[in-house]
Amino acid sequence: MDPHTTPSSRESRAPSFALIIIGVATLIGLIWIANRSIGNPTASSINALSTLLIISLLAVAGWSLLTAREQHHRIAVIAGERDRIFALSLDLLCVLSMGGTVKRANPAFLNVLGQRPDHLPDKSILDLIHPDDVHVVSFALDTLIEGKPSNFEVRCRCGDGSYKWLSWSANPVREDNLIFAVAHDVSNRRATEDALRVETAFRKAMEESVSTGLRAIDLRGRTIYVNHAFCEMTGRTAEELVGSEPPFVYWPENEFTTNWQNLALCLSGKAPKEGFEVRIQRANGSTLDVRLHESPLVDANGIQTGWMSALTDITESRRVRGDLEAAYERFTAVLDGLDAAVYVVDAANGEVLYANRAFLRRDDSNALAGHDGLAIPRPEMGDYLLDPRNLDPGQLPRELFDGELQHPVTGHWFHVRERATLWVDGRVVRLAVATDISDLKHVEELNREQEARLARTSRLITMGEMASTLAHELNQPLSAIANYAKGCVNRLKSGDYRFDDILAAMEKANAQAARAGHIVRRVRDFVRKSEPKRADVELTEIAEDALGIAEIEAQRLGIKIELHLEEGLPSVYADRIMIEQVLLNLVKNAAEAELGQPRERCVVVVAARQVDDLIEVSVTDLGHGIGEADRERLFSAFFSTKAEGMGMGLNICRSIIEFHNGRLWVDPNPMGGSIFKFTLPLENSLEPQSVAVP
Amino acid sequence: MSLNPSPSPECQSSDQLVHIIDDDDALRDSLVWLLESTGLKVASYPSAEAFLQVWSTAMRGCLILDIRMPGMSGLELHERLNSQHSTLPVIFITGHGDVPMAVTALKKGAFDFIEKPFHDQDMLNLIEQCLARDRAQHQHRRQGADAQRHIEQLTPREREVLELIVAGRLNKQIADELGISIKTVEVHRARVMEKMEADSLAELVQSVLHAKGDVVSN
Repeated sequence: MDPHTTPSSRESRAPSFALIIIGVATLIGLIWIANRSIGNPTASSINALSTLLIISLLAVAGWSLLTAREQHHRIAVIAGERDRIFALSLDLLCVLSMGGTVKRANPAFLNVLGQRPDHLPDKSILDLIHPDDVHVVSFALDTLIEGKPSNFEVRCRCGDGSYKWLSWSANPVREDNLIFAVAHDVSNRRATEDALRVETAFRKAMEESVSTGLRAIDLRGRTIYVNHAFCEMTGRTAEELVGSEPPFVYWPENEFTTNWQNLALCLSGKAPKEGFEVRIQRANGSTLDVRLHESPLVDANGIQTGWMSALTDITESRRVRGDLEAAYERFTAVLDGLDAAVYVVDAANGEVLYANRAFLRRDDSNALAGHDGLAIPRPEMGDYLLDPRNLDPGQLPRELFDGELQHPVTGHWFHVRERATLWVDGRVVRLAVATDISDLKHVEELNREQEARLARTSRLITMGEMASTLAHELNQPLSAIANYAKGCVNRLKSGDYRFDDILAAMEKANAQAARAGHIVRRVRDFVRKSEPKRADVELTEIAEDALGIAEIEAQRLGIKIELHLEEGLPSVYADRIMIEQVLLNLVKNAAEAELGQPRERCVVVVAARQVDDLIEVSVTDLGHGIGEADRERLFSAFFSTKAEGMGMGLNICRSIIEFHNGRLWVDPNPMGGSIFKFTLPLENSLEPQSVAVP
Repeated sequence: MSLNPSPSPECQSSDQLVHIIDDDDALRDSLVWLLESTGLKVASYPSAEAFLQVWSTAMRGCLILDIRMPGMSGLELHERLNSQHSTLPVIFITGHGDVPMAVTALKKGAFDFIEKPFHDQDMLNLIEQCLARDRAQHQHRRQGADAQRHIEQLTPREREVLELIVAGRLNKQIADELGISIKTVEVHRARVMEKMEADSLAELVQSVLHAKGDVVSN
């Protein structure tokens, strides 16, 4: 027998039994031999019997020996198998003393722990245990000593110093004072378990830390789980909530119906994807608006066990949304309140994306049907500053159109302004604002007519103011003619005359008649009744005509008028008579301002020069000047510094100049007196202003 | 200046002239032509300044003055003459709308104004009135000078008596005031009447007023 094997008590009895039988048989044979040597004659029958007995005993002994040998062989096989199991087991096997000293260890120790089994005997098993787990093993040994089996999992040190988790099963054999222990490596399981634990802890932490309330209900609606956030939201503890059934305590009383409906939808799997918006009644009575998303709760086997609800607090977002809605409402209210039509059109296909009320009001039927046939005219493609159909979004927003359009059918005039910009969805759109300016246009027209009438009136007023001057001027020749004529009559009547004297007088009278005719011709143009007619006019002509009239008065007042015109002035686009009138007015004022000044200061300078694309005309006097306070009021109607003035002159002058897109103002003259200036646009600079009116 | 020898009309005394001042050559020339055709003696000047060069207080006649003129205007000339105690009556010739100026001129003592174009007869009538005024003023001035001369011949006592007579006192009152007898007053009174060349109390008073007016106007 292998000394390492452990023979059972039954297996060891068979050979002993055979040896006993052989011993007995030998003893009986020795007794028989002794009997025969003494010679007992009567013993022949006994001899035969003894022989038989011996043979029987020998047979029995032989059988016993045979049996014993078979049994020994069988035991040897079993022991061999056991040894192989011991040697080949993947699990760790070892025999320990009751004190924990290793008696034997199998090669699995090398495989699993990297510890050589032949180094282990006589070492304490505790030497292999992780210091933190020693107490577990000590406790197990105590249990084993009491004769009870023990199972435990501890970390064991490997040959390389690392540890592995081993799951031990140990049984004490009290009669042998031994412990048989089996261990297998559970490091992987432990690692998985650890990972799982971490994962679970993470999930738990996550569930607890998220602000989203989580609630799980089973398929009947009973609450099976709530997270921290859910408890916070409802203001109740998890104990109160878990296990509760609908109607839930956090349902507001007046919203039971809605909540029942929502729950029914949820349990039937028909909860809307975007979730429900519900109100939660908190324990303290306050309420909370939440959005509730339902998703199926599926277990590890893929079987649905209930519904998981995620609740997000939307009180704040609802407030924000409320604000946004209010802002939007204000925005639309403002846009809808506008008289102007505001609309947004897809730049590529002309689809109307937005239209305010003014637009819709104008266009009931075709409101959003497309751009054609709208009550608001649109610019022709060619009228756009650039083609709105192929715009680079990077260059937006851009001005597309700004002009006045007339609707071909209704005849309404609109001021239309279009901008290319990006729509909320990223499309390039034309944002258009169209204002009906038909009335305005009408008023403008009236104004223009009014202005023309006013200008005409003012011409007459100016004429009125000038009437005395002109009358005086006409009176001179007329009086002279009358005098000459009467003088001749008197002389002819008296008979005391010389022919030559009479002839000379008549010729002088004739000359005076010509003088009167000339004055009349010059004045005639001035009161001509006509609409303002703008045309290319040479400023030189205007100046000469105006000064021709002004000279009459100026000469009488002893005022000298100087004209300084820049060489080669381009023509202006103006109503000749109107501008003449302005110039005449200014010169007349200038001359009057110089009344009472010393002779050398009685000079009015009229000058014109080109400044950029304007012609600037100035009338400079050396008169009394104009106070700061009066300088602006000067141009208002009915203001006059002259006792007899109507106060219309400068007001009309300014209107006339502004009608010509020019400006009229007054500066103080550094030399004393005033400088009145007005500008007129050049003929060619006016052209671009008439664009965009089809 | 143009002087035309022609028969003097009855209204114009030999030393009276119609002075025409107008800047408009045609008007001035034609007016001279017209007035001379009626026999008036006329002098004409193209400007106020030209007239001032020949003016003196002794000048007789009247002025026809254009109210507006370059340089010194008619109004300015009028004021200048007033300030130098000219008594020449002035007719302003005005144009249309010069009425306010003409009114100012009237307030300052102008005789009248006539608006262009004027009727020749209106002008001649005005001139006639002006010349008459000038003559009256001349007469008045001469009487004043005579009275002054007579007063200077009185004794101091006679002058006292004269003042009291003119003040309307009776002989008795004068006697009481001066502390002399009524008889003496009567003597003084007769001497005063004689020296003053007055035939009545009314003439005496008029003479004294002439003298005082002359004193005032000088």
